[in-house]
Amino acid sequence: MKRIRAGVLIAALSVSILAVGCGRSGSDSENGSGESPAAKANANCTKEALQATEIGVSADTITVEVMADTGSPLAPGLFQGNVDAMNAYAKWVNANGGVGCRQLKVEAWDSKLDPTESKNGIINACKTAVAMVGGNALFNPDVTDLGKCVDKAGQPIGIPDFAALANDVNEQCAANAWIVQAVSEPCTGVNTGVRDLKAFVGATNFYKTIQPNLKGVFLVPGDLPTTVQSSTYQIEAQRSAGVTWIDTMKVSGRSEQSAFNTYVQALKTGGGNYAYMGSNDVAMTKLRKEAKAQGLTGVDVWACSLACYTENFKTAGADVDGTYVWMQFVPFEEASSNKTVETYVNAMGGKPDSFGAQAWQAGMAFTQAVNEIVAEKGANAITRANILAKMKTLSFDAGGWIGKARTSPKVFSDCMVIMQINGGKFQRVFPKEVGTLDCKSSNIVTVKIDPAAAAANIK
Amino acid sequence: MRLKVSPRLISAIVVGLVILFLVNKNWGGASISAKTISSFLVVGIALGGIYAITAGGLVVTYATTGIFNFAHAAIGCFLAFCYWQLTVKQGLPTVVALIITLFVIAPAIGFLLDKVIMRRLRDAALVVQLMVTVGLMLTFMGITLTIWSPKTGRSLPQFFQNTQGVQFGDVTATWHRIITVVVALLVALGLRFLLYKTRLGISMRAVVDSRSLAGLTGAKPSIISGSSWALGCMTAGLAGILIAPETGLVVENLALIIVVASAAAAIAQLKSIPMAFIGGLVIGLAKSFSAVYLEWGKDWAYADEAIPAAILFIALLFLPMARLETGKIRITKRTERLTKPWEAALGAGVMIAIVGAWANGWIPWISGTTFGERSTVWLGRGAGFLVLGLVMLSLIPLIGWAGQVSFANYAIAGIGAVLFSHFGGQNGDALGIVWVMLICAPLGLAIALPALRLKGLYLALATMAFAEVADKVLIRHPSMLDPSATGVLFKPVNFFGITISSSASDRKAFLMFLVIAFALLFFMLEMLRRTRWARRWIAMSDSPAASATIGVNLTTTKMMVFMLSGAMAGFAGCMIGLQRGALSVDSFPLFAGLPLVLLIAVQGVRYPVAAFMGFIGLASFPALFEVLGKPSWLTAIELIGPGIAAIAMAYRPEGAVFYSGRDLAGLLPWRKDAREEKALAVAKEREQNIGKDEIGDMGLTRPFSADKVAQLDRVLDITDLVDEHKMAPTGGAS
Repeated sequence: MKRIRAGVLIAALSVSILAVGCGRSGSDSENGSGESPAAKANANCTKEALQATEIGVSADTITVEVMADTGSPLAPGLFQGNVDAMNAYAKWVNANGGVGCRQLKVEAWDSKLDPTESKNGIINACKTAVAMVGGNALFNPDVTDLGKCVDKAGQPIGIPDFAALANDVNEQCAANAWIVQAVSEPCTGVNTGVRDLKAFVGATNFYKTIQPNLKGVFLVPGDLPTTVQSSTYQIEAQRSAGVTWIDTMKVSGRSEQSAFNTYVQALKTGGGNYAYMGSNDVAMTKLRKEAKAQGLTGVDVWACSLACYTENFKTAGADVDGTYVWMQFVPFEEASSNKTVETYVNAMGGKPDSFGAQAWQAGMAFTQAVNEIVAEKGANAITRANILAKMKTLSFDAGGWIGKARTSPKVFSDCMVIMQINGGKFQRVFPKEVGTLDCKSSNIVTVKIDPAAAAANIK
Repeated sequence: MRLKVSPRLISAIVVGLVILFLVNKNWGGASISAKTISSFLVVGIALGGIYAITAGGLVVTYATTGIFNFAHAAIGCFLAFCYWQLTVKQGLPTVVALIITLFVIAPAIGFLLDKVIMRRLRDAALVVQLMVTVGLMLTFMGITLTIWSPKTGRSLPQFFQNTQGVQFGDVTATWHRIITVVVALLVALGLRFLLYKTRLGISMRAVVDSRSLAGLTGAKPSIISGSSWALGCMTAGLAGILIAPETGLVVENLALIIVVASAAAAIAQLKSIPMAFIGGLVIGLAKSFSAVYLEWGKDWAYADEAIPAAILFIALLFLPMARLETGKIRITKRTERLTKPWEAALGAGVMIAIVGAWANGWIPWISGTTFGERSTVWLGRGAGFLVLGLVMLSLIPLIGWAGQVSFANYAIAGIGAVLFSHFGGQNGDALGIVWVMLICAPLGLAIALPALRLKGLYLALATMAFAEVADKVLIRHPSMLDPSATGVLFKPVNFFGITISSSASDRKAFLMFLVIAFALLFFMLEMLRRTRWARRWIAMSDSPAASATIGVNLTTTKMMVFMLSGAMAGFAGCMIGLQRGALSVDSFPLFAGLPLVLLIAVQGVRYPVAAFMGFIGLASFPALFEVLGKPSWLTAIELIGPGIAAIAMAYRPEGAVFYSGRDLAGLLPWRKDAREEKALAVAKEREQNIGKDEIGDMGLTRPFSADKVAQLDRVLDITDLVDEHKMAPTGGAS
């Protein structure tokens, strides 16, 4: 069996904290329209008889595959949010005119936290779908077929992958992948050794407005070596932004609360005023409870990644009050300020999650790509080759949900919003204006580091 | 005068030196001050209390039932969720919820388990006993996950959480932790008193030793054994309720604490409850010491997670040498009919034919439907299931014949897969497979070292510890598997013109190669079963004392079977590497290997064909999902089904292939022996299950023997049964 639920969840969320969005600054952000794709569709739908133009494209349907880890016996329903969101998206988009003059059909593939099943998912998509959309498979190291499987014309061009989240560097850097969440890797062909990696420090800069001399501990999700490595450049980036680390330590959501005493003592002994949790909501809850039990009062900033932006964290009680969480999309609490967010939240029956949000955004990107192809080349031009070409230049802003338009398959957003939990509710802290994101280039830094080597310095 | 040095003393010195070396090498630089010492002690004792209370329950269950209950923590987890439901959800007062959970639900579960399952395990083979409890663990986990969705957040508050704890230096011990430690201590002392100073406790232990003798002294074995399980469930529930606020109300966190508790229980030699308490404290303190004072560095980054397993291993080193049992020789098996060479060849051919027909897409053509239609995806899955079938095959001689219960073969396969990446796997060199097998054979031997002096449950625990250490320490070492390496690790291997790899285009060839290799190994094992080596292994399993008496060298015999099994697991590991293409450091955890042991035990661990049926079993759920879609009922069955199947072993201890094979063989004209055997079994079962309406047969068509009278007493509810009937022939290694 793969790592247990807590481990994999931490792994996923630690990657998703890099969640990309392409944003615009708070001042010039505009609300998403939530306008249906059909409304944007052009008259080309009626100009010619619709044909089956590609694998997964018939005269009346377009089939896509959403591959996510949902059925592992040890982590049942882990990324079910991705599948639910894609199904909800298809329902909504079909009710609003469809995509590319056709109805969207979603096939779900359970990758079961298993590299073989992930590879099988790609092979299956190659045979049944025009593209993979909204996927979230943690263990996906072999993406050979993603780049080489044949299309209807017999050309080995692979299949487009509009992924919500890609954990494995091979998928992150795959030529056919368009990924919602941030890609830190330079993807220059060599993904090992010392290299330039992007990291987000916008949240750190905000925390410095609360406490100018941030000094504390960074708790690294330690269940998997990959998550430890992905934390190294965040640690380095925050150091470059002015944080003094008392210690950087591995943590597991599976550990007993008593084990968190070590981190609390480190903060106490070192006079820390800052604690950053790179792991998940379970670990953060235990840390806060242990800190309270030990009478730790010197911490000004309790900060957590997107992994704490969960319903479970809301039920953790008063002990976690005051914890900051940063994200790179307009939060669900502000659905009324953005029609796209509102549409998503309503489509999910009022129970949105961040994985589902990324899947929904991937669905929107795919729809936009297909509709633009139809607009430019006609309703029978929907082929993998055309989608692959379109995804390279797609200008996409998810209806303002993620801010300004992104124009590349792999980007690193410079936008953020910071929320704080109080009384079981997340409330916006920065920027103040509802529905906006803070976007500026200084939110991103590049660090030169060998993550594998740097991981050795984490206790 | 010759100085006599105790081997234990030497072991203690060696272990002490190794620990000192590790501490010195990994010292993190923290000063030894009052501050760090108080932190180390308070945290260590708090953790120790958690482990101790679980270990205490584990020991008391073992001491009063004779069964090592892998499901102990899972039952505690279920009861903790029940308690949450009553207190947090229903709003009942804490005391009321505690009474309902611990004194109503827990005993009810205990009595039910005893009545339905555990009584039937009394004379079952160790592997059956262990796997039934593993199945029970999976079932309780599945039931808990089904009732309380893991998607919903739940938390159980600590007792007196709003009251300031007790200050020790810079560290505060919360009241909940103090309560946990005190309760663990009280439970340890209380249970000790119960078991040794009260009539009930003495009866409990007596029933484990001999139900008949206990019955003759006035004890009521069936009520006593039910009470034992009820007591075990109550301690499990108490532990779950106290631990849940610390670990979080998360099924995996609560249920898998059994690994740590096993180590603490091993320190107590599964006998002494106070020692289990100390064992728990030792582990808690060791983990705390590691956290406060040590830094393991990148080479051993996950070593601290292996501390409980390492302590378990060390504890087993100090167990006294297992004595040869005399006076307890029990004929547990009928005389087996050996498979003839032509039958084995036919069986191997059938395996190749079935897989070959499917791989070539002939089944839909034969059946006239699309059922069984193979695809590239399914060819890959088939290969994946078949390599796991190879791991199961490696368990047949070891567990099935020699009776050496091992949980380590999947870990050996993992080491084999990683080694193959160094010995030719990255270059497509087939010779590397031979090298890996040659390395894995002595690796199996290394595991055999404790087997030379341990046996039964302790050996199983030792192999479990090895599997944990292999996963957390060996495979994760950067020299074994570089954590920064990504992508496909193994290049295609060419065998006589056949290319095998994880690539979509090579899958059919790979599957055919695998089934041929599987069939050859199957044939080899069937032939091996006819040799003196297999007879020695089986004899050793039946009675080591008798085997030694007739001149069997037990040491050599054990070593040989571990080497054979290790080499086979190494081969399976190479195939796993080729089949997956890529490896990650967490590919071979202990809990991935357990289902394989479980599956082979369910199918029949003594029969090589069971590995093939295990392969079919692995494919069954994905195939059903393919055919039926994904109905929620099937998902629930997938979650709980394997556990239920394992529990069914209590009723069919020989394994599915034995019973189905016997019935099917009886259809063959030349297998008169199978028909006779079945008729005998049916008659025996009928004989042993006397009904009220058949009382008149006593002394006429039924013998008026002592056990029949006892059965009669039971049927008529006149007295408690002294020795219960056996529902089915017992079997397997004793």
